Amino acid sequence: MDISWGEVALRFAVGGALVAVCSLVGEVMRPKGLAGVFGGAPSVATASLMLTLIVKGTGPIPDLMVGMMIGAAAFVVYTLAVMVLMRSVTRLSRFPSILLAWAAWVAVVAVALWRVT
Amino acid sequence: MRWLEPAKLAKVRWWEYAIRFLMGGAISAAAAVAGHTLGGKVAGAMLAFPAILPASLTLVDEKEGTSAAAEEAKAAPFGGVGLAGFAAALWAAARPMGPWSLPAALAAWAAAAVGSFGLWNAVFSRSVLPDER
Repeated sequence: MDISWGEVALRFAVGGALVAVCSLVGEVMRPKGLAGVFGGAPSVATASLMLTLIVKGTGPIPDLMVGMMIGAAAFVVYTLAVMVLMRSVTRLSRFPSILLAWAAWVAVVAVALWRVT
Repeated sequence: MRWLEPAKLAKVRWWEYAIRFLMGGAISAAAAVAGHTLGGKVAGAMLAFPAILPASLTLVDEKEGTSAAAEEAKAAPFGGVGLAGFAAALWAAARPMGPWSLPAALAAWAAAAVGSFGLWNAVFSRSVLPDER
Protein backbone atom coordinates (compact mmCIF):
# COMPACT_ATOMS: atom_id res chain seq x y z
CA MET A 1 0.00 0.00 0.00
CA ASP A 2 1.35 3.45 -0.94
CA ILE A 3 2.33 5.73 1.91
CA SER A 4 1.75 9.46 1.51
CA TRP A 5 4.90 10.98 3.02
CA GLY A 6 3.19 14.39 3.08
CA GLU A 7 0.53 12.88 5.37
CA VAL A 8 3.24 11.29 7.56
CA ALA A 9 4.99 14.70 7.85
CA LEU A 10 1.69 16.38 8.76
CA ARG A 11 1.04 13.74 11.44
CA PHE A 12 4.58 14.31 12.79
CA ALA A 13 3.99 18.07 13.09
CA VAL A 14 0.47 17.91 14.57
CA GLY A 15 1.33 15.01 16.93
CA GLY A 16 4.51 16.69 18.17
CA ALA A 17 2.77 20.03 18.73
CA LEU A 18 -0.13 18.52 20.71
CA VAL A 19 2.25 16.46 22.89
CA ALA A 20 4.31 19.57 23.69
CA VAL A 21 1.20 21.60 24.60
CA CYS A 22 -0.20 18.79 26.81
CA SER A 23 3.19 18.49 28.58
CA LEU A 24 3.17 22.23 29.21
CA VAL A 25 -0.32 22.04 30.74
CA GLY A 26 0.85 19.11 32.91
CA GLU A 27 3.83 21.18 34.05
CA VAL A 28 1.67 23.98 35.53
CA MET A 29 -1.00 21.68 36.98
CA ARG A 30 -1.37 20.96 40.69
CA PRO A 31 -1.31 18.70 42.61
CA LYS A 32 1.59 16.71 41.15
CA GLY A 33 -0.51 13.54 41.06
CA LEU A 34 -3.03 15.17 38.74
CA ALA A 35 -0.10 16.25 36.53
CA GLY A 36 0.85 12.56 36.35
CA VAL A 37 -2.65 11.69 35.14
CA PHE A 38 -2.37 14.45 32.52
CA GLY A 39 0.99 12.98 31.45
CA GLY A 40 -1.01 10.07 30.06
CA ALA A 41 -3.30 12.35 28.03
CA PRO A 42 -4.07 10.89 24.60
CA SER A 43 -2.27 13.72 22.79
CA VAL A 44 -0.65 11.54 20.11
CA ALA A 45 -3.92 9.63 19.67
CA THR A 46 -6.02 12.80 19.41
CA ALA A 47 -3.74 14.33 16.77
CA SER A 48 -3.55 11.11 14.73
CA LEU A 49 -7.25 10.29 14.97
CA MET A 50 -8.30 13.85 14.11
CA LEU A 51 -6.36 13.54 10.85
CA THR A 52 -7.68 10.00 10.25
CA LEU A 53 -11.28 11.22 10.67
CA ILE A 54 -10.64 14.13 8.27
CA VAL A 55 -8.76 12.14 5.61
CA LYS A 56 -10.35 8.68 5.81
CA GLY A 57 -13.57 9.06 7.79
CA THR A 58 -14.68 6.60 10.48
CA GLY A 59 -13.85 3.38 8.51
CA PRO A 60 -10.45 2.61 10.10
CA ILE A 61 -11.52 3.63 13.65
CA PRO A 62 -12.81 0.25 15.05
CA ASP A 63 -9.55 -1.61 14.22
CA LEU A 64 -7.44 1.29 15.53
CA MET A 65 -9.40 1.39 18.79
CA VAL A 66 -9.13 -2.38 19.41
CA GLY A 67 -5.37 -1.89 19.11
CA MET A 68 -5.45 1.18 21.32
CA MET A 69 -7.34 -0.67 24.09
CA ILE A 70 -4.55 -3.28 24.02
CA GLY A 71 -1.94 -0.50 24.05
CA ALA A 72 -3.71 1.14 27.02
CA ALA A 73 -3.66 -2.11 29.03
CA ALA A 74 0.07 -2.38 28.24
CA PHE A 75 0.47 1.28 29.30
CA VAL A 76 -0.90 0.40 32.77
CA VAL A 77 1.55 -2.55 33.02
CA TYR A 78 4.36 -0.20 31.93
CA THR A 79 3.52 2.39 34.60
CA LEU A 80 3.41 -0.32 37.31
CA ALA A 81 6.87 -1.50 36.16
CA VAL A 82 8.11 2.11 36.32
CA MET A 83 6.72 2.52 39.87
CA VAL A 84 8.68 -0.55 41.00
CA LEU A 85 11.83 0.70 39.25
CA MET A 86 11.52 4.20 40.76
CA ARG A 87 11.71 2.60 44.21
CA SER A 88 14.36 0.00 43.55
CA VAL A 89 17.06 1.57 41.38
CA THR A 90 19.49 4.40 42.07
CA ARG A 91 19.00 7.81 40.55
CA LEU A 92 21.83 7.32 38.02
CA SER A 93 20.40 4.09 36.63
CA ARG A 94 16.77 5.28 36.72
CA PHE A 95 16.45 6.69 33.19
CA PRO A 96 17.95 3.59 31.46
CA SER A 97 15.72 1.38 33.65
CA ILE A 98 12.61 3.36 32.76
CA LEU A 99 13.54 3.00 29.10
CA LEU A 100 13.96 -0.76 29.63
CA ALA A 101 10.41 -0.86 31.01
CA TRP A 102 9.31 -0.20 27.41
CA ALA A 103 10.09 -3.91 26.91
CA ALA A 104 7.14 -4.69 29.23
CA TRP A 105 4.85 -2.56 27.04
CA VAL A 106 6.08 -4.25 23.84
CA ALA A 107 5.68 -7.74 25.39
CA VAL A 108 2.07 -7.15 26.51
CA VAL A 109 1.12 -5.63 23.13
CA ALA A 110 2.82 -8.42 21.15
CA VAL A 111 1.10 -11.21 23.11
CA ALA A 112 -2.31 -9.50 23.04
CA LEU A 113 -2.15 -8.71 19.30
CA TRP A 114 -1.04 -12.30 18.61
CA ARG A 115 -4.10 -13.55 20.52
CA VAL A 116 -6.51 -11.08 18.88
CA THR A 117 -5.34 -11.38 15.25
CA MET B 1 -7.46 26.67 46.09
CA ARG B 2 -5.40 26.70 42.92
CA TRP B 3 -5.21 23.99 40.28
CA LEU B 4 -2.67 25.78 38.09
CA GLU B 5 0.70 27.39 38.79
CA PRO B 6 1.38 29.65 35.77
CA ALA B 7 4.53 30.96 37.50
CA LYS B 8 6.14 27.62 36.65
CA LEU B 9 6.16 28.67 32.98
CA ALA B 10 9.04 31.05 33.75
CA LYS B 11 11.18 28.07 34.80
CA VAL B 12 10.44 26.03 31.67
CA ARG B 13 13.50 24.96 29.68
CA TRP B 14 12.23 25.08 26.11
CA TRP B 15 14.63 22.41 24.79
CA GLU B 16 12.75 19.92 27.01
CA TYR B 17 9.63 20.70 24.99
CA ALA B 18 11.56 20.38 21.74
CA ILE B 19 12.45 16.79 22.82
CA ARG B 20 8.80 16.07 23.63
CA PHE B 21 7.75 17.56 20.26
CA LEU B 22 10.20 15.24 18.49
CA MET B 23 9.09 12.18 20.52
CA GLY B 24 5.38 12.89 19.99
CA GLY B 25 5.94 13.59 16.29
CA ALA B 26 8.00 10.42 15.86
CA ILE B 27 5.30 8.22 17.46
CA SER B 28 2.55 9.85 15.37
CA ALA B 29 4.57 9.30 12.18
CA ALA B 30 5.51 5.73 13.18
CA ALA B 31 1.84 4.92 13.90
CA ALA B 32 0.91 6.22 10.43
CA VAL B 33 3.58 4.07 8.76
CA ALA B 34 2.58 1.05 10.92
CA GLY B 35 -1.04 1.54 9.87
CA HIS B 36 -0.02 1.22 6.21
CA THR B 37 2.39 -1.67 6.64
CA LEU B 38 1.29 -3.72 9.69
CA GLY B 39 -2.43 -2.94 9.94
CA GLY B 40 -4.80 -0.84 12.02
CA LYS B 41 -4.54 -2.78 15.29
CA VAL B 42 -0.75 -2.34 15.50
CA ALA B 43 -1.11 1.36 14.62
CA GLY B 44 -3.82 1.70 17.29
CA ALA B 45 -1.61 0.09 19.95
CA MET B 46 1.15 2.57 19.10
CA LEU B 47 -1.26 5.44 19.87
CA ALA B 48 -1.04 4.33 23.53
CA PHE B 49 2.77 3.98 23.55
CA PRO B 50 4.24 5.65 26.68
CA ALA B 51 6.54 7.98 24.72
CA ILE B 52 6.51 11.02 26.96
CA LEU B 53 6.40 9.54 30.48
CA PRO B 54 10.10 8.51 30.78
CA ALA B 55 11.37 11.97 29.83
CA SER B 56 8.72 13.63 32.02
CA LEU B 57 9.57 11.54 35.12
CA THR B 58 13.32 12.00 34.66
CA LEU B 59 12.93 15.77 34.37
CA VAL B 60 10.70 15.95 37.49
CA ASP B 61 13.27 13.77 39.31
CA GLU B 62 16.06 16.20 38.37
CA LYS B 63 14.17 19.42 39.06
CA GLU B 64 11.85 18.63 41.98
CA GLY B 65 13.37 15.53 43.56
CA THR B 66 12.60 11.83 43.73
CA SER B 67 9.48 12.13 45.90
CA ALA B 68 7.79 14.45 43.36
CA ALA B 69 8.71 12.06 40.54
CA ALA B 70 7.42 9.08 42.55
CA GLU B 71 4.16 10.98 43.20
CA GLU B 72 3.76 11.59 39.46
CA ALA B 73 4.61 7.93 38.69
CA LYS B 74 1.95 6.72 41.17
CA ALA B 75 -0.71 8.66 39.24
CA ALA B 76 0.42 7.47 35.80
CA PRO B 77 -1.56 4.16 35.78
CA PHE B 78 -4.78 6.22 35.92
CA GLY B 79 -3.65 7.87 32.69
CA GLY B 80 -3.67 4.35 31.22
CA VAL B 81 -7.22 3.79 32.50
CA GLY B 82 -8.14 7.06 30.77
CA LEU B 83 -6.57 5.88 27.50
CA ALA B 84 -8.67 2.69 27.64
CA GLY B 85 -11.79 4.82 28.30
CA PHE B 86 -10.90 7.05 25.33
CA ALA B 87 -10.44 4.05 23.01
CA ALA B 88 -13.64 2.30 24.18
CA ALA B 89 -15.69 5.49 23.76
CA LEU B 90 -14.34 6.20 20.26
CA TRP B 91 -14.84 2.54 19.26
CA ALA B 92 -18.51 2.79 20.30
CA ALA B 93 -19.23 6.33 19.10
CA ALA B 94 -17.30 6.68 15.80
CA ARG B 95 -19.98 5.25 13.48
CA PRO B 96 -23.06 6.95 15.04
CA MET B 97 -21.42 10.31 15.85
CA GLY B 98 -18.81 10.77 13.09
CA PRO B 99 -16.21 13.50 13.81
CA TRP B 100 -18.07 14.47 17.02
CA SER B 101 -16.99 11.15 18.50
CA LEU B 102 -13.49 12.59 19.08
CA PRO B 103 -14.56 15.28 21.61
CA ALA B 104 -16.83 12.64 23.20
CA ALA B 105 -13.83 10.29 23.54
CA LEU B 106 -11.77 13.09 25.12
CA ALA B 107 -14.56 13.61 27.65
CA ALA B 108 -14.51 9.85 28.32
CA TRP B 109 -10.71 10.05 28.83
CA ALA B 110 -11.07 12.87 31.37
CA ALA B 111 -13.90 11.08 33.20
CA ALA B 112 -12.05 7.74 33.30
CA ALA B 113 -8.61 9.15 34.22
CA VAL B 114 -9.64 11.78 36.78
CA GLY B 115 -12.55 9.63 38.04
CA SER B 116 -10.40 6.53 38.69
CA PHE B 117 -7.66 8.71 40.24
CA GLY B 118 -10.16 10.43 42.54
CA LEU B 119 -11.91 7.17 43.43
CA TRP B 120 -8.60 5.47 44.29
CA ASN B 121 -7.57 8.40 46.49
CA ALA B 122 -11.00 8.54 48.15
CA VAL B 123 -10.94 4.80 48.93
CA PHE B 124 -7.42 5.06 50.33
CA SER B 125 -8.26 8.31 52.18
CA ARG B 126 -5.84 10.64 50.44
CA SER B 127 -6.88 14.16 49.49
CA VAL B 128 -6.72 14.93 45.78
CA LEU B 129 -7.29 18.63 46.40
CA PRO B 130 -4.37 21.05 46.24
CA ASP B 131 -3.42 22.92 49.40
CA GLU B 132 -5.40 26.05 50.29
CA ARG B 133 -3.45 29.13 49.32
